[in-house]
Amino acid sequence: MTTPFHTPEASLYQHFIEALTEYGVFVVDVDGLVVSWNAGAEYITGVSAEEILGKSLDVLYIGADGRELRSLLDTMTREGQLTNTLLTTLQTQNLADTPIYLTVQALYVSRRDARHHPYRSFEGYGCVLRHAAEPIVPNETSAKQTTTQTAQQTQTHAAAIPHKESEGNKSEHKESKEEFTLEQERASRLRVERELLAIKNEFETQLNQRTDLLQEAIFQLQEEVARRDEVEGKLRQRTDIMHDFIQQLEQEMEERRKVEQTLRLSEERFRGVIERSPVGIAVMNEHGAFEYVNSAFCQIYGYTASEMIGEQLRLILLPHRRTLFEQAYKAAFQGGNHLSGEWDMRHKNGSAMTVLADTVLITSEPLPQSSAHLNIFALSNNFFHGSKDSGKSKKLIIFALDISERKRAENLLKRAAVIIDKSPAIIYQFSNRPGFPFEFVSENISQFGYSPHDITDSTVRRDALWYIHPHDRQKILKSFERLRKEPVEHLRREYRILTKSGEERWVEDTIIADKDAEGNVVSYQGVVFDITERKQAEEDMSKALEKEKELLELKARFVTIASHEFRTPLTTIMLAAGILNDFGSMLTDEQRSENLALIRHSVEHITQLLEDLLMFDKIDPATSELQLATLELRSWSEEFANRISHTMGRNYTLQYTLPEQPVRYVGDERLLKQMLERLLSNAFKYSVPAAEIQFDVATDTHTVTFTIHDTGIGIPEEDLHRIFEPFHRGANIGQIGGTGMGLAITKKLVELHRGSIAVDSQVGAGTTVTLTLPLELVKARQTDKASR
Amino acid sequence: MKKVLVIEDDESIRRSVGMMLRISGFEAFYAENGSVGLQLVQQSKPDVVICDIAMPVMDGYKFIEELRKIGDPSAKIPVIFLTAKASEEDIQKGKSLGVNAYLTKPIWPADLLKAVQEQIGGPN
Repeated sequence: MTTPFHTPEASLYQHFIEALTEYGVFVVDVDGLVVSWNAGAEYITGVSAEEILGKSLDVLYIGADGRELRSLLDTMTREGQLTNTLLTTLQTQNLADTPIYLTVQALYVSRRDARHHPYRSFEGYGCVLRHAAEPIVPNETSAKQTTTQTAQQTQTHAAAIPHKESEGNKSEHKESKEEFTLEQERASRLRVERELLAIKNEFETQLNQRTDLLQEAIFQLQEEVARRDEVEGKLRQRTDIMHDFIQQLEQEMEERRKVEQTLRLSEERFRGVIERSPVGIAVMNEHGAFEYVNSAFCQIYGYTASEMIGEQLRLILLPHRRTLFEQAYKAAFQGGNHLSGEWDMRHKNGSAMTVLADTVLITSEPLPQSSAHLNIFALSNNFFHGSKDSGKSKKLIIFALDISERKRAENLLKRAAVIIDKSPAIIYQFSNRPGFPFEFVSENISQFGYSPHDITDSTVRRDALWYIHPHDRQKILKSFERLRKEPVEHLRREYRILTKSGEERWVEDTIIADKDAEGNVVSYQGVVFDITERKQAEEDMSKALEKEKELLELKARFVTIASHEFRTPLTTIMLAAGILNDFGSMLTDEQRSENLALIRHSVEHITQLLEDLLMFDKIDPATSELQLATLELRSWSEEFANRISHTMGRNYTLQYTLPEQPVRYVGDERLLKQMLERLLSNAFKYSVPAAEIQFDVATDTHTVTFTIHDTGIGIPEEDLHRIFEPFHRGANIGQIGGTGMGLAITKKLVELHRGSIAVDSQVGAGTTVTLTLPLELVKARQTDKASR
Repeated sequence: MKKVLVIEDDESIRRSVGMMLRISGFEAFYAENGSVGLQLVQQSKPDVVICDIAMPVMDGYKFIEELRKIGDPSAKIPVIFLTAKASEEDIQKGKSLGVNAYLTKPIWPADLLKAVQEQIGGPN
């Protein structure tokens, strides 16, 4: 028996089938020959394996016709039925006229090499044989589990059975026996169907596996095909490239043929070009003689070609340049470049001129004609050496250009540049392109410590205005902003430049637009002047004007205050006079004399006011002349103190201290007395009677200090800082008379003496005035002047 | 007898004005600045005030400002400025503060008396 299963379980199964006696199990091949025959088949039929194996099933129909089974098998094969069951009788030794069930299952067996030929092969029929009379207890559970298809099949057979019965026995016994047999048959059939179903499922699983494998194989095949296509594509490409290359080669060869022809044709033209070249060309030999000159060369020097050819080089040399040039000429023959550059040469008419020269050294050695380029050299070689000349002689080709005119222009420009650089005006130019980059700045920018490069290196951007004073950068940026929007004809700007050393310089910068033929502004040219001195003068003048204005204002205020000061005593006079006039008859004698006294005092006050004002106006520290005299300060102070003490009367006490040694003092005695009198009179005036006034005189090396201390009413704090202003009087003076000019005048006198005055005071406690003056006023003034 | 308060820092002027007023039948009393003047207005209830402008401690401007703020009839007392400040600006300022008459120094006593009478009539 052949089986697709090779597992141990399958083998076990095979043994079981072979040994099974209740069922005859056998296999019939496609030709209807029995290929396996188990023990059950032998037992049921009585036909041994030896008898039937390899033979037709006809053996089972001894003396009978086997058509029934044959036609079943044919039907199954034809219709592709997988399974069928037949109730039949066989004519064997054991089974003569005994009804049996024969269940046939078509067998599809996979070949071993199914992997490569994955299809199923119809192999034959598996047959199960059993007695139809064998009682079989139907298993209901398993019956219920059978598929619909199985049930249908069963019904079909059940329908077929009565037909057989009608053909069979007619007795009741036989009927009941047949019923039993039918039951048995159905159960047996169910079992077989189940088994066959299991086998079928197994086959399907196998089939699926095979299908997967097949798909894999197809995929691999596809890949292989793709690979092959790729290789073919590359091959085609390479062939194309090859083809192109060959075409190109052919083209190049054709072009070269053309070039060579052209070159041959143009040799004549080349000669013409050399002849007509605007550059002077001469061929010189090793001996320094002209072998060939073109017309331009002749023109430069004023000779004809015949005048020059064969002549020596010195024909065109200036006598004082000869040695130098001839040395350079020799060196050029050694392959050097010594003749290249500007040379002063001699014209036929003897004048000097500047020639720009260059040289090429040519040897007559044949050159390989391997390229079109080299052919040019070959051509020139032929031209300059003559095609017949095959010697190895060297020739020097001189190219010459008369640049005398250019030289003159350059010199002129240089001179102009020198003039610019010596002038104070800095000239510059910047392009009217974005960023306004500088194109030129004259050398005299050095007056600010910069080189032109320092400036031209930067463009006009926010961070690029580094050379402009930070306060003016915004202004300059705005002016460039204006240029960006719309070009202007000219623009004048004043700003401060920072010099390289960081100094500020005021400049006036005027820019003028430079236009092209169509009127577009191409660039701007600027002129920068250092106007620092002018600016300084302007500033000084404006300061002086400011000071003048301040003085005028001060004067106006002074006049206003002064007029007010006059109005008060004038009012008193007017009132008193009015009373005397209008109410004279009603006045007592006392009242009359009081009014007259008011008038007298007021007049005195006005007089004092006038004197003080005149005095105040007269003292000018800048112009006032002092009556200088030398005195001994110690005794002078003592005498002064005593006199004041006497004048003030007995109501006051004046205490004083003096320097221990006599002191020499040089100054204006009258003014010194006036300053001290004013200060002491204030001390007495604002103190209660019987108060003690302290007057101290102390000297230093160069100064004398007078200290006047009283215990009077003092000066309120808010008045202290204004106490030296004209007419200003403390708020606490009450009825104490005065013009308010005393301290103002004193202060002016102190300034005149290059001294200082300080007031320290407390209301109710008293006032201390400290006056410090130089001992020698002349010296003080000289030092003062020197320090200015 | 009507009362006149004279606020003036200059003693001579105070005495002259006072003498003229008394001769003319008025009762006159004095203050040397605006601050003292305000106190006397409250105490003595004058009928009219003659007041200087430029004075220490409290000037005439401040005085009239404070006077007009007082919460009793004395706020309405007529005030005559008698001042050395003669500019148009000063006069305008005085008027804006509610001064009743503006007289400039120096002045003839009859003119001052006339201004007083214009405000309060005769002495009785």
